[in-house]
Amino acid sequence: MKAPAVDYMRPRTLTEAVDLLAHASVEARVIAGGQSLLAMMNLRLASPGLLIDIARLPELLTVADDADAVTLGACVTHAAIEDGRVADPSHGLMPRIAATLGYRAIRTRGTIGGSLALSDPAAEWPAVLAALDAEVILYGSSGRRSLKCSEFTTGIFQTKLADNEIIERARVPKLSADARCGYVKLCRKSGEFADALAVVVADPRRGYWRVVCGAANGAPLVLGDTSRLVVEGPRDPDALRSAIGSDLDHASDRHFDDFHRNLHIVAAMRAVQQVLA
Amino acid sequence: MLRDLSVNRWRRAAAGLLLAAASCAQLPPTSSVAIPSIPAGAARLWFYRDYEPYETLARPYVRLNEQIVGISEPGGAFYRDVAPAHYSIRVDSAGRDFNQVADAELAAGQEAYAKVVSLRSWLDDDNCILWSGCDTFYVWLIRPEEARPAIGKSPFYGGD
Repeated sequence: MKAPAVDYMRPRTLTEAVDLLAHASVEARVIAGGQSLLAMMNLRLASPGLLIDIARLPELLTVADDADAVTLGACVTHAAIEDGRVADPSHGLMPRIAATLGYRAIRTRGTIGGSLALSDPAAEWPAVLAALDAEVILYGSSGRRSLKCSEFTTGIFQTKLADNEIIERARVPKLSADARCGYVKLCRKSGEFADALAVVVADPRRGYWRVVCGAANGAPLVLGDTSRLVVEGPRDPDALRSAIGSDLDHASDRHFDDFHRNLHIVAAMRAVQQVLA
Repeated sequence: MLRDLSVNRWRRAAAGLLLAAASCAQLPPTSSVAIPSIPAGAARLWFYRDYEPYETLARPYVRLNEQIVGISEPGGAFYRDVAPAHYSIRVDSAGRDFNQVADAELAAGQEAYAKVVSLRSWLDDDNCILWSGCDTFYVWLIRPEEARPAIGKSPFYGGD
């Protein structure tokens, strides 16, 4: 199927884009890479009356590298991260993950901001940025605000992005030199969304440890008990399995079936092992 | 001459029947089989495995406390009636990973459901087949409401 007829506008500035979004008389959607939105339009799952193309806005393509963090414009593509064309605050974690997103053709157009805005529960960036304690900076009619990525996604395809707001940037804290990361994505076929996904970040110098579970029937799930166990450097697989199972069970609203519960345990245990090895 | 033709025809028919009986016959789904109730004082453990066309067709041994109790067939289900006790359930696996073994504490009259899972083709983040591509099996206990429908659809490989 082809997408329904739609009006298309390409603003020159972010402010102009927000104005268009706020004052549109029809349902307006922001488009950057379009790798999810266009597919949804073709399937008639989305039928906006107006597309506002922000892919070439210079404000959203900039990358700032300061002492504590790297700030990536929302329209930075997965391929730019994969290829190392932008600064990497994560000692290789983000390029490694970018290389597993969909296929190369998707990565050359898909953007980090688009992935966050859609917040597909099985997508990588919402979980990874939550694990890295990143912030998302939003720009709207009433100004600019920032939120922790771990709070930005609220559910399946649900975020705190207001109707008149656009994701401007993602600010990712720099990991210390001796920080370690683990990442495991389980899927049946290369390029697919994850069936289970786990990200572990251990940065002792900053006193920061976090284990996050993606593809978790909702927003990325921070595994609190497991994170605390990683601080202690567990060597007992049974204790680790028990902590992960306990964290998953506490998230009763996710309604994990036994198969996926066990799959998440495997993914999380492997990811933790990468950090502790 | 006529007799030779008749004998040959009979042989071909017999060979066809044997082939059908030996390999081509479809086992009935478990839901269509009359399953006897659990013997008094025993517990029942069901084992099942989804058929995944892109997964291994290996038929590993299923072990309870290291004793072989059956073979896991792709897409198949079977059960064993056992004495009430604690059981460590595992399937022979060339690949080693986390969370491969299930533990079950079974009381008399209780039924438990163990799903055999193969993750041979589950990809890691480098898009490589895990653990050099060798078969990697897991056994996970599944709650009855999830396991029973899957077992009902699976070909039945027997029980005792």
